[in-house]
Amino acid sequence: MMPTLLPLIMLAYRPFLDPIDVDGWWWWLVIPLVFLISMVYKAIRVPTMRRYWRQVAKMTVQVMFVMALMCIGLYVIVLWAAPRYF
Amino acid sequence: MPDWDPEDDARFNFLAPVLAWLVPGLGHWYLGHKRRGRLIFAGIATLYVSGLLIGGLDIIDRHGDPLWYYGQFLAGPVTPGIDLWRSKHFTPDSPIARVNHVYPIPSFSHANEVPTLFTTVAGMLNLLAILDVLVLPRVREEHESGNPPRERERRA
Repeated sequence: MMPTLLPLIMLAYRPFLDPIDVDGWWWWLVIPLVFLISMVYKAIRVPTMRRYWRQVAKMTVQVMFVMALMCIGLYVIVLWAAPRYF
Repeated sequence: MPDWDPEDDARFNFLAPVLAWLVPGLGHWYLGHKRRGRLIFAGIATLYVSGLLIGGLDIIDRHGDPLWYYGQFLAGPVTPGIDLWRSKHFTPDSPIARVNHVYPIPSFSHANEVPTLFTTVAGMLNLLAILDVLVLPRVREEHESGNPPRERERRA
């Protein structure tokens, strides 16, 4: 997309009426999604609110880490192992 | 050590789950878990509003996406309210739309999938909060800071 078109597109955006074009970067939205899930989940689950934000950060990092591992695993299987061995 | 007294018998709360559905976090707030209530509200409201900002009101569609709608419904009466309002006033045939061209543009692909997921996850998280307040004991004011009293720490 040409940079000069961006302000025009942003001007045309009507909140709650127009969808935002997230096609190129939708997968970055997993970070706020996981963070907010951790925030609500830990607010319900932790027995005491001390170290709450540390628990939220820990859960966020753990989930992101496992998802990254799964991405790498799938990448290896689909794009490397499958073409060679199947 | 929890910031409520486990010896308090877990009574079945009738009003708190209803409040939790009406406004996410209000059930916890009502039972005295005010900090938890604020955090639950902040998390669920951010997820829900982010979804609406990304995908527009079109992502809440009882007839088009019924299964996702049931998940979104758990986030509170705002979901049926939006669905009713949108289907009544924000269709291309409505008088407002004909005059001002104000109606939600349908979203497709990731612009529809991601915000639908955001709003449905918000509803599912609110279901956890509703189930939590069903038997959650009421907390005393002294625990509002989130720190249990010292004698309880010693007992633990």
